[in-house]
Amino acid sequence: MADPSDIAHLLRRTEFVARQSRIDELTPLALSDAVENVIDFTANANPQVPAALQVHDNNNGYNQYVSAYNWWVDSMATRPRPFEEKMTLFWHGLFTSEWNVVGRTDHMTHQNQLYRTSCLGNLLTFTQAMALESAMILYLNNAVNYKTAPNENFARELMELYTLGVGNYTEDDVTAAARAWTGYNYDNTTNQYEYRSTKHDGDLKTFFGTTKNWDGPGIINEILHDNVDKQMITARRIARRIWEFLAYPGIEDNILTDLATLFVANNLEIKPLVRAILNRPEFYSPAAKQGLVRTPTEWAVAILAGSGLTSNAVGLLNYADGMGQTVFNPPNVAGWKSNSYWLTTSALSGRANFAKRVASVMRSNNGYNNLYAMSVSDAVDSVAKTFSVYPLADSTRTALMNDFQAERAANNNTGSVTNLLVLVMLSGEMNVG
Amino acid sequence: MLDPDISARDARRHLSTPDINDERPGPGGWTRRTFLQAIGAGAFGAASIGSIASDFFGGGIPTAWAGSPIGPSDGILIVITLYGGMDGTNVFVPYGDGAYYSGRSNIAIKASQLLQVNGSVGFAPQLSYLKSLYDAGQVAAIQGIGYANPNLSHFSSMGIWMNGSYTGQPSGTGWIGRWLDGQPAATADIAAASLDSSVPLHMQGVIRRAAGIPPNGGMFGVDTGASDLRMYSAIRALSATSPGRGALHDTYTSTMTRQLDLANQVAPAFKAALPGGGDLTRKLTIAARLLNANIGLRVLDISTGGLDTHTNETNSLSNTLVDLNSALQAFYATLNPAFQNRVTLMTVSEFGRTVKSNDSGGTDHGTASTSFVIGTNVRGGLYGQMPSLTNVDRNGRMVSNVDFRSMYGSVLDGWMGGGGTSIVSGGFENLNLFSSPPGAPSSTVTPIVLGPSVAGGFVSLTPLRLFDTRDGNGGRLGPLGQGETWTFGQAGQFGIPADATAVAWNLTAVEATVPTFITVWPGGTTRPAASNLNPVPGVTVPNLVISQLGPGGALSMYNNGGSVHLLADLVGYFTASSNLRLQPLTPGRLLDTRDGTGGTLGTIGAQKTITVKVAGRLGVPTNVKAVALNVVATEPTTDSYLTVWPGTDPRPLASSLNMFPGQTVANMVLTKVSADGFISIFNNNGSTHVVADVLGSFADNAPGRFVALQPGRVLDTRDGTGAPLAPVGQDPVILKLAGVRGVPGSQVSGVLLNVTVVTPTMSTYVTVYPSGSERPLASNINAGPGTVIPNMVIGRLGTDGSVAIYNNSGSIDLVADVMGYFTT
Repeated sequence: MADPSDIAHLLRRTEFVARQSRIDELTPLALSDAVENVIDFTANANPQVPAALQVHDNNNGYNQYVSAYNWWVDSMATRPRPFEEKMTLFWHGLFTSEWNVVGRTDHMTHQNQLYRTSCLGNLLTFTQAMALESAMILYLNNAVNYKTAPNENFARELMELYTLGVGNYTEDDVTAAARAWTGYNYDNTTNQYEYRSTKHDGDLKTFFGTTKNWDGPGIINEILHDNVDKQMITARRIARRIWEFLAYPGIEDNILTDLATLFVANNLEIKPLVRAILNRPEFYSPAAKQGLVRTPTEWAVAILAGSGLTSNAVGLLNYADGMGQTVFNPPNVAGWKSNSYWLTTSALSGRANFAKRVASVMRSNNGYNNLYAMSVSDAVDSVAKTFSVYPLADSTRTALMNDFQAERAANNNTGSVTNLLVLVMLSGEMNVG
Repeated sequence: MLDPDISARDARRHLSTPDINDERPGPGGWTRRTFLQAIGAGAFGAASIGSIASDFFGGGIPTAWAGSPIGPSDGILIVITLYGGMDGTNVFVPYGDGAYYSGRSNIAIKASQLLQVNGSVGFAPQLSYLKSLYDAGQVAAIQGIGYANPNLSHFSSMGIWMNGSYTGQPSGTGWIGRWLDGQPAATADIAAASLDSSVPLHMQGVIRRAAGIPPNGGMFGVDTGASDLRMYSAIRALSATSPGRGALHDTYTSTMTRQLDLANQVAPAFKAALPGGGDLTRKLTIAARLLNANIGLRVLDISTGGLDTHTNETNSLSNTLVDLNSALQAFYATLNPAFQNRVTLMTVSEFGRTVKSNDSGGTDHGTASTSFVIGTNVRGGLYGQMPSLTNVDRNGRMVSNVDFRSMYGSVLDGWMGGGGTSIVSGGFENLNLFSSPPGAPSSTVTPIVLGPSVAGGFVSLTPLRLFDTRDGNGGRLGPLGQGETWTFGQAGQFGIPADATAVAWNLTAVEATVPTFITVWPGGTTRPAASNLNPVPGVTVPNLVISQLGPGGALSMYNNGGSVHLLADLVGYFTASSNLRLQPLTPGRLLDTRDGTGGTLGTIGAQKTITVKVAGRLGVPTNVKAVALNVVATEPTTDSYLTVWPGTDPRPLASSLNMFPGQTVANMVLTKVSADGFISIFNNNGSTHVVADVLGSFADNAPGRFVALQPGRVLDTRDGTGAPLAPVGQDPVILKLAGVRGVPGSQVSGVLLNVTVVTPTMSTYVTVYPSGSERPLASNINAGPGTVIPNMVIGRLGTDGSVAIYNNSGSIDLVADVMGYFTT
């Protein structure tokens, strides 16, 4: 029997929100069995991208993007095992592409589906497939990487951001890798990735000290498999990224070493790594439970899950930029940051504006007017349960009760409900931890 | 579709916080986290950090927080961050170095186009206002700025610039943030802000971070309903007591409270309409308004992207520089003059670019560049040295000779109250950038600039001669000499009311001694890089001029070469109190004496007048009060002029169009229409055919109010401004005007352009029409081989926000200056 607060923390970090039904389901289990339940996606029954979003509609480009955005965010809020979407979001933030640059929803959703099906798979296989996605070919310019004038963009980011990290390769390695990736182009007729041997540089190149006729996949094999030093460096970097995405920033070195060693011993299978992370006692420490700000997307998904509303119904996309995070459009090739990155006056203003919008939709749906008839404490507790942040801290609860009481004293039904919904959404409990 | 590299809207967000994934400590072994732990404020500790939290995490003082006005000797700094790596070599151009032209022949700017500072360097042609500030002694151009062992990654290099320390400062902090750390707690909350949804690294201190102001306003917390006010109180209550859920929780609640405070303070800056044009123009206008509000801001960070010019640099860099130039104009036009001597502006970018251009008309990541430090109390001039373009580093890139930290330290010590040495963590070379401290009277005078005018309706007048320099009428006898500027005041005269925003003249140049050009602009302000007339010897050249009025209702006129006489007829003015507005029309032929269109068949003889009905024809409404026409004289038998005026009124002493035997000449004419809907056209000498195309009609309740803009060049095919650097054949030039040079991005019914046809290879005409529409049978400008002929045009925009400019034969160069626009 697990500690319900540990289960709530596990669910909040893996499934976006700690639904009471899931807490009730997992608390009777041993913690390690609860982890197995969370990382088993069988219940999701192989989710597919809607057919309409798998083909490019040239006359409907932006609308397709809006549909894809809403579909993915709603998926996060409604899947039986949302951790699959959470890890898809992780990879989207690491192996980035931007719809704004790629310009085609079909490529973005195809990439998204690869990230979904590979999210707990093998990192080497996954990275090889990622490199040849049309979205990536366009985003980082392998589309125009020719033997005559190599374009370094993908080769550089593959090492700087996707695998090794700065300091673990030289400018000469970037040049060699860029040449190895020449010819992995894009066909503007079929609108797909296409390998063109005539554009590929088949001459000798020296990469990490080895001179031979390197090709693109060979570069990835070298980094993730053949060169054991580079493999460990990458394993450490990826393990740290996943830890910091799920637990807290600033992983301790001993934890990182344990995780990376396990990751390598498992041939870079991601699932054992994630299992190990979720079973570490440090994952359940106060530092972890208080150690992450919910990203705007995670926060909004928790709101959608609690309110039962869809992304489209509340116009989430209209608020996303103001809050600082729009999925399918990371700010740049390095993806999103964490914690204090989200805590700017301008980005929190965006959250507050969205909370007000959601409260207005919730209230107009008439589902919450019964709050007015409840006792002050019951009303506050009821909304806290709606958004899965029950129980609130005492000081928070007091502040919300005082406001609700004041609205009542002013005989303001609408205001009392609106304020209570907004204040719970804007509480520290809803946004941090 | 594809960005060649990192699309640069992004580096700014990438750099918004320390790289949490960076295991490597900063240069001194510090990371932000270890630093916080060292000072006893572990970011992840379980215990409440209580009251210290607000100070240590930049949170607000929970109650009674408000910014306070800054002291009269407190300096203000605006940091303009240009993401992507600005090609300093094409901004502050070392044209005296032959390697400049040999290394980048496909994008090099001709020496004649540059705004030359001396025999070796000059500003890019788009930077006319910056050049005028430089000439006034208010711009320090720091050449060869950079750092040793330059990094070519956008992220890494911008990180180095933003961190701004030689050694020892936490890598997750920036130089302005560390300045902010040293400010008194009572004022620190509002002392620094970024106009962005995220707060970049340079605005992040060890213990504080700058506020973020959304670039489009709309902050939460400005509604004033009773329930809203109670909600705000509750949000404040949430930050007043820490629930003991850790430091992040407390930082979150205090930042939310701080956001509430900020919302009301900044809301006024977003209330009035913002100018159109580029990102920087909008943001620097907001910046000036925020400073005018005097809420305690001392550093404001604004930015734009798009400098990563791997391809097609001529166009994209030109657009940014046009924006930068108009942004500086808008800033000084908006800024309360009382603050002028308290403000310094600075440009930064993560690196310069390669000396050599690539095959795609772009440049790749480089090293040294030029930064500008701008302000009334700046000691203007050249700093550092332009790096050699041939004695380069082993990667072929220029070598810097001024460390950027010297600029920071000099500004901190000279303008921001000190701290330079500790903030940049090292002895820096003090560049002595300032001639006097903040708030001290400046010995230099900032050129007057005007913002866009208030939208006005038209008042059409019977033409009235204002001046003629040949006979002294109007107060001046004698031609304008070479390089001379003459300013003509109209306040309280000629029936022009005090609230007139712009006037319409028909300006005629006579007796030019050499080919020259005339520029007309609001009196007293900086002369724009634009032209209105292109006189040549032996030819009388008219053109319509519509210009915003400067102080005293004045217009200035500049003659570039030789000497030339000018005469002007007032044809109307614009004022907010007039309801007479423009309906731009698809150009349509009202009159053609060659085929009888309009009721007259055959030439108009000497001293003859014809009348033409305009009301109710070609989309002109029956209640029309005035029309905009393009009038063409063709096949004239002798030198003559036409006068156009309303219906049966007495003919005024004025000219609308001058002609010469055998030439076809066009001029745009604004004329009042008689009550019964007619205009009259008079020919003075010989005989001539006349063609008139209607361009628009003025009537009550038509849509278009006129907004005058500072004249600005939007197209010059001779230097690649607005279109490729190449002569124009029969493929129309598509010229984007929406969102350009002060023209809004939408709700524009027409743009007033002065279009100049330059040296056609054969006789031709030019038609301006909405991009994407069928080209109408009409002409705007007629020009013979080798001539330079301007005419005013009302350009209607296509759905892409552009006009198409069609050249009928041979090849020509085209120049266009935007003068204003009509609203919808």
